[in-house]
Amino acid sequence: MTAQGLTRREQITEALQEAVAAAVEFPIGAGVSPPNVGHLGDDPLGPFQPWANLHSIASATDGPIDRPTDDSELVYQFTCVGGGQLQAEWVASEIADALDAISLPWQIGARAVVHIDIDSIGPAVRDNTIGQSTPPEFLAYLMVRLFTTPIPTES
Amino acid sequence: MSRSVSIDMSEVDQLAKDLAERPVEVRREIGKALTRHVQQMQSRIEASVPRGVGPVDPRDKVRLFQSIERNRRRQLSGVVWSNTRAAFFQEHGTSRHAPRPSFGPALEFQAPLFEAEVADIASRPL
Repeated sequence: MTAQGLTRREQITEALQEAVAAAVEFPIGAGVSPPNVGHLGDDPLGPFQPWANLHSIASATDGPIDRPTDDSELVYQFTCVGGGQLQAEWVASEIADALDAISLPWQIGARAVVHIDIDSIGPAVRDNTIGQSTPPEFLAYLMVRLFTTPIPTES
Repeated sequence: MSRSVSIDMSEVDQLAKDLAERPVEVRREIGKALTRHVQQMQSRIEASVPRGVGPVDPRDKVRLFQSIERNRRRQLSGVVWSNTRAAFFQEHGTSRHAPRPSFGPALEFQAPLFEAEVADIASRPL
């Protein structure tokens, strides 16, 4: 049996990215960093273009007994990147506000997002993996769950 | 900046109160179940943490996959953790690495199984 709730997930992912990108003033990458972000120029103390990357993390299905995979729960992570701790936390806050502003139910293709749950907003931490010689970056994580269900078809 | 996940049902007040009133055998059985579920969660994490790929924090003294530890704290609480800094970056990713979570999925898999087993044990007739 096809897990109906998980088909066409890319439509949900794309709509989520576009909705958040339209509401904030920094770019949102889909799984990878968008161009022209981070430290602009050679000066490590110069301007920093913050951004966020959207990642698909997990999924699960549920539903009534005769259609047990109709509904889906999709987990996403926004990796929020700033040149300082406050900037990374600000990026996460802006995304949280954008998610709160989405009016529900939100129709995407043949499905509707009926509930959006911001699971957690992690503290901003310095990215130690890029080495001390590189200008610093700070990361904050926002986890969000989207609950979707099929839109009933008229018969 | 390590990473840990916990099964902690000790603050489920009514359940904790009910269990305190059950015979010691019942509480012992739940304790054994918790130990088993925490072990399984640790095994699941160890099997899924990436080896040799992903972000590395140069200040870590041990490799991530060698660092997963577990403990039972109280009757209804157990924890699995890593003290490496890389665990955090591996779980959530960085601006250059996609997240490759191991702790979160292991908890999501194991916690409902533990809850169901506790409910089963607690509902057995005295």
